[in-house]
Amino acid sequence: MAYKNILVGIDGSKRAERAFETAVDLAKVFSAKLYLVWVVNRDRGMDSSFGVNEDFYQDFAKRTKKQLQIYLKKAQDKGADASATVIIGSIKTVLAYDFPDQHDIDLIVLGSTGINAVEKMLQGSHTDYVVRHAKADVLVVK
Amino acid sequence: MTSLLRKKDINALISHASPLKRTLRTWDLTFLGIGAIIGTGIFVLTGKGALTAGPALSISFLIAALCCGFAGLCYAEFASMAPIAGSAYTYSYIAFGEIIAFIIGWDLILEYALSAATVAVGWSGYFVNLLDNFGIHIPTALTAAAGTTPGVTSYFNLPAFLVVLIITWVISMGITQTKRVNDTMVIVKLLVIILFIACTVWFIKPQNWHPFSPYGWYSHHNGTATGIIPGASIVFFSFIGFDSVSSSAEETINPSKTLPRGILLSLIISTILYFCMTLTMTGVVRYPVFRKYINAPVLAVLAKTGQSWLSIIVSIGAILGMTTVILVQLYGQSRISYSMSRDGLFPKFFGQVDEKHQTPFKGTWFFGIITSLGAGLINLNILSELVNIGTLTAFILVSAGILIMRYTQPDLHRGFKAPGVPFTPIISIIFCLTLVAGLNWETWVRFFVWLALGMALYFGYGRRHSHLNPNYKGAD
Repeated sequence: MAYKNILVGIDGSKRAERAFETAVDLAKVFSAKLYLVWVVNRDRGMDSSFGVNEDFYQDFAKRTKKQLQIYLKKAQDKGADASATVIIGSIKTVLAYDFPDQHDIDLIVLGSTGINAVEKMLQGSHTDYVVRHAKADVLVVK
Repeated sequence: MTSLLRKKDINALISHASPLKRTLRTWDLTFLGIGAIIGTGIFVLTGKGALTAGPALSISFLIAALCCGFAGLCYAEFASMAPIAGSAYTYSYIAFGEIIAFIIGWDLILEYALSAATVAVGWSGYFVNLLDNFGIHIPTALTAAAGTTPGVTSYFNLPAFLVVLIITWVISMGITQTKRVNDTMVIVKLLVIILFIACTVWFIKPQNWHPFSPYGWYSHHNGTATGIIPGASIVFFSFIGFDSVSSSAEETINPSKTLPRGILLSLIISTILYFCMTLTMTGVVRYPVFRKYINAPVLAVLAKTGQSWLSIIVSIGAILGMTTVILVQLYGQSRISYSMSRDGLFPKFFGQVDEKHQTPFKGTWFFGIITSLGAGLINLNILSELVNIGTLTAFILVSAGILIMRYTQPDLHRGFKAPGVPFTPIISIIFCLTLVAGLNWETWVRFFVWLALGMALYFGYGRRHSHLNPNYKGAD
C-alpha cells in the first residue's frame, strides 16, 4: 500500500535527525503529506502546586518552533509536501494517539531512543510505547 | 510608585496559547485532587502535629481542610482568569503587578525548597528504619539534624542530604516521571495508609485519647504554640497540592458546578482518611511518645504493636512515595526560579537552559544544593512550621486579589467564578491568617527575614533588570 500521511517525530537528537531524513525520502517516494511534529513533553506526573512548571513548557515550545522551522525548510527544499507542528503534551499519547487520529496518519517514523536505566524505570521508551500502541504502521530508524 | 505594580500584557501571552479540550467531570477532578493531596505529609508531620495538639490533631485536619476548601475556590477563579496555562507567579504578574508577582514567586521558592527538605527528612526516617530492620546501622549522629529529639545527640541528616542530591542529579539530566508512575505511587500510598489503619486499629486503647485536647484551641507550652490551631498550621502541609483541581477550570465540563464539587469531594475523602489515621495513631500510642519518632511517626505505632513486618511494608511504601514527591518538588523549584529569571527578576544564571538536557541545569543544581543542606541541617520542628507560611501567604495574596479584582475589573474573562464573593475570599483570608497565627513567632521572624532578603533582591536587582523596565533593551 502507498502511504498518504506520514508523521515524523523530531526532538533535536541525532537519531531523530536520521528518522527525519528517512521520512522526507519516503514522503517523496509516496508523494505523501509529511507532518513534522515536535512534542514538548509535559507529563502530568510532574504536575505541582501553583502550576509552576507551565511557563517553562510555554517557553520551550516557543524556542522549539524556531528550531523546527529549520527542519521544515530542509524538507520543503528537498521537495516534500511538509508542515510543522509543535505540541505541548505527553510525547507518548500525542505521537501514538492524538496526532495520528486527527490527521489520518498511516505511517509514523521515529528514531530509536537510547535511554539509560534510570530513564527507563521512570518513563520508559517513547518509541517502544508508540510501536506498541499506535494503530498506524511505525518505522523505527536505527 | 506605579512601576512597582507594572503588569505583563496578557495579549502577548495569549498569542501562543492552544485551547484545551473540556473532558473532566466531577469524579475525574476528585481523583485528580486526591492524587495531588495524598502526598507524604501524613507520614512525616503527624508526630509533630500530635505533640502540638494531642489526639485533637484529628480536629486540626478538619480545620486545615476547611481552609483549603475556601482557598481552593479563590485560586480556581484566579487560575481561570488567564485563558492559558501558566504559573500562579505569571498570573499574578498579569493581574496584580510586578512586586506582588515577585513576592508570590519568592514565597513559592521557599515553599518548594522547604517541602522537598521536609519530605527528605521523613524519607530518611523511614530509610534508616528499613536499614535497621536488615541489620545495617547508621550512626545516630548522622541520621538527624541537631535538636531533632531532646536528649539524643545528632548533627547531620546524611540520608536526607544524599537523597536530595541524587534526585537533583536526576532532574538536571532532564528525567521526569510519567503520570502512570505518579498514579501508581498514589495508589501505593493509599494502600499503605489503609493497610496501616486496618492492622493497627485493633490496638487502640481509648484511654490514650484522654485528655483528647490537652492544649485546647490555642495555648503556649514550654515557649511553643500548642493546641488545635497550631496543629492545623502544621498539618496544612498534608493538603498542599489540592490546588491542582483549581487550575483545571479550562479543562472541566461545566466548571461552575463541577469544580466546587471536585474540590469538596477530594478534600472530604482525604480528610476522612487523615482523620482515621490520626485517631488510630494517637489511640495506639500516647501522644508524647511521638517525640522519639518525630521524623517517622508511623513507626512509633508499629514499634508499640510489634508488627515489624508491617513496619517494613510501610517504610518501603513511604520511601517509594516520598522519592517521587521530592522529585516533583525539586522540579517545581527549578521551574519557578526559571520563570523569574526569564522575566529579569532573577539573575540570568537561573534561567539558562542546558542545550543537551533541556533543563535549567545551573538553577537546578544551585537550589538542589541549598535544599540538600537544609534537609541535612534543619530539624523537622523548624521545617514543619516554615514549610507552610509561604504557601499560606501566597493564598492570602490570591484571595485578596480575587476580592479586589471583582471590583476593579468586573468584566474580565473568568472561566470560573468563585461562589459567594465577597464572603468566600474573606473567609479564605481569615482561615489562612488564623493558620499563620498558629505558627510560632520564631517562624514569623524567619519568614520576614526571607521576605526582607527578597525585597533586597527585588530593589537591588530585579526592579532594574526586569524586562518590563522601560530601559530594558534585550532580545526575546
